[in-house]
Amino acid sequence: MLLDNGLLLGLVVLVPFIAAALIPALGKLAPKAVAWFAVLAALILAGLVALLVPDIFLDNVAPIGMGDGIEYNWIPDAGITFGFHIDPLALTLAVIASFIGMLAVIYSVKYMEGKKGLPRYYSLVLLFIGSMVCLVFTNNLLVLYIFWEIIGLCSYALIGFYNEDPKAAKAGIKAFVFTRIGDIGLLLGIFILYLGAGTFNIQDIIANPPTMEYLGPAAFLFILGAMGKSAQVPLHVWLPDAMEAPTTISALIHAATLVNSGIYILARMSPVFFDIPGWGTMLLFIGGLTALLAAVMACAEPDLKKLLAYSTISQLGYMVFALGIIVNEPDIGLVQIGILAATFHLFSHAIFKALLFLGAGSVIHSVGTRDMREMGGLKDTMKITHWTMLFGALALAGIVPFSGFWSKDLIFAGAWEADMWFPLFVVVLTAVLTVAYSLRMYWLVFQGKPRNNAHTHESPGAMTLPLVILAVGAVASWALIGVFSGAMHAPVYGFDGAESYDIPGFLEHTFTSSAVLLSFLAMGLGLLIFIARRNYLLRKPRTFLLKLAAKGFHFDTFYNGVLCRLRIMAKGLRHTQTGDANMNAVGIAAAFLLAFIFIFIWGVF
Amino acid sequence: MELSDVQINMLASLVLLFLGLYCVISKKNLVKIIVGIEIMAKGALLSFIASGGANIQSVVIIAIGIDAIIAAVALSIIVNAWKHTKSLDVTKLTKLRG
Repeated sequence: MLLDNGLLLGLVVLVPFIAAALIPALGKLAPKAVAWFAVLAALILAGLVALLVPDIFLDNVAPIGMGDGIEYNWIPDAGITFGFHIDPLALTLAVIASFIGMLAVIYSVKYMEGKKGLPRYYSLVLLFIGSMVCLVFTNNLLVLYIFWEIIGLCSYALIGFYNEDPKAAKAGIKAFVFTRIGDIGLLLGIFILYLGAGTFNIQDIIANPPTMEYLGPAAFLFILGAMGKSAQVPLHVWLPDAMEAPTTISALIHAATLVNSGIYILARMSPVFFDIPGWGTMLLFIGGLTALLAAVMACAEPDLKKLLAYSTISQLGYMVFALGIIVNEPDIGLVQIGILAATFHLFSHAIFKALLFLGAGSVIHSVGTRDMREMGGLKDTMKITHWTMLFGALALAGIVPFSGFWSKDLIFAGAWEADMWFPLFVVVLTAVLTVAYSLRMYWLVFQGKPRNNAHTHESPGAMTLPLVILAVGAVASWALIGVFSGAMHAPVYGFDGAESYDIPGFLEHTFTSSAVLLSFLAMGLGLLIFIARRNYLLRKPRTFLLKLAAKGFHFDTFYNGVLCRLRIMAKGLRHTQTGDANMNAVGIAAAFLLAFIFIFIWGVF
Repeated sequence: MELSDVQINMLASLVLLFLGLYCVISKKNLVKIIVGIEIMAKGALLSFIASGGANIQSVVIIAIGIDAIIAAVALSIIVNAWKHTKSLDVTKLTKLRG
């Protein structure tokens, strides 16, 4: 340990925020240095977070922050203290956020070169990464909610970063409004838990959970909050539109920060909620439905980035699904066996999805369009991008040695052990479609003949270096399962359902479980579908299902209809706004008088 | 009937409050409306002072400070309104009409 824990955590909290505050000033003084300053700050943050890794993952010490007095008393009377609780779950998320964030910042140096408003961009990116790290490290629900809001704000501002483009501005607002529905749910859930438990401290709530009348509604509201941030059906519509953002931001949102926060809060709070009847089933069905619908939509999507967005929604569906795998062990009672699979899939997903998005950015940078129908034949001109994207696509599809296979198989194995046949069928069907659309994406972009006249070229080193690093991760990250599951299994952290595997044990568990047959079945069927349809990839969708999927199953039409009705209803109320300041003052005085009279009568009776 | 000091102060603050309210409701000039708001605020301050209490001095001083900030912001809004419309008439500022 180089640094004292208190100092280290203080630096982790302060570095990104101070850097984010300094960047606008630096933008005035030395505009050229902004990007490198941001890279430096991101590197420092990643290094500081990495310093925590040995303690938690190798030595399995007690959760940092629990009982060692490292906390900042903000409003102690109301129980609002900024304390820490760092366990494998939190640290995994923080490592993902800081490292993938760092790679995205390095990649931005070239990708965003010469764009307008760069200080704003880097400042918001650092704020984004820093808030995500603080969100997972804190042990206080109210503080968590504050950072939850900050990442919502950053996602809004960054999705609409090209604010002169009305489409981008609208996409930002849409993301903000839809995640807001979830945010309100989460805030209400936090207050209901507070009413029941009398504290905002997550560990105290886990130790003394409130009674069921508080837990039930709170659990539902927490799921709503996670649905908003993690883009679960039916609140997923903002994520495909968020593709108007710069590609680095898409990578940040999809792999490192925003969408993981919903999964995090479900995983973090699941020890409180998992014995509520219906909690597991609800997660299984939300997750399964999301995974399946998004996979179907991805099969019909011509836009490269939107296809990746749908694949993210689908993979997030897997994680929510895995969190819902709860079995009733005869001696112990309910055990949440899916938590290891969910966090492990989150980990491998973060790596290969960041890889795919940054690769897509490299492709778009070179070709100048996002439409896959106008790409093709890039495998010769963009060698590094081609190979790394291929690795990413295979990891997404879950082909054998790549990381997606292992974590997805862990989810199948969990569902198999729990005898959940119908949900299992849904996710296996999703896996089949995942193989089909990943290969479709790869084929349309890199194979075949070029379908446009753009002069394509390989991207510069600052862009390919992160790609290569992430590609290595997409092949090899599963080998960390030993360290990872060992830490999750360690009793000090209290994840009862997490098994511990060493690497040979994990291989044995994977290949001897019957679920591996399902994985191979999914690979085979997906490959067959792809080969059967290979010659029709450019054709417009003809079947009813694909046509519907290309329209996003009309979720947008539905929301639009609701909003139109609301607007018509609101039109009648508009006449009460006279726009006359004097009349408004009369209104204020009248309301005050009414309140006064009300209180007076109340006092008399 | 003999009025105590507290009651006199309270009555005065009530008078100030209604004076300010009348000013805000009836005047068309933006500056006069701000003057009305300030009068109302002073009425509220007077009632604070009248009610007494141990720490009322610090509360009132902070309230006066906030009051000054409100006046400054409001006046800057007026300056901008003047730049846009070349008039100080509130009846011309009806962009928020439904």
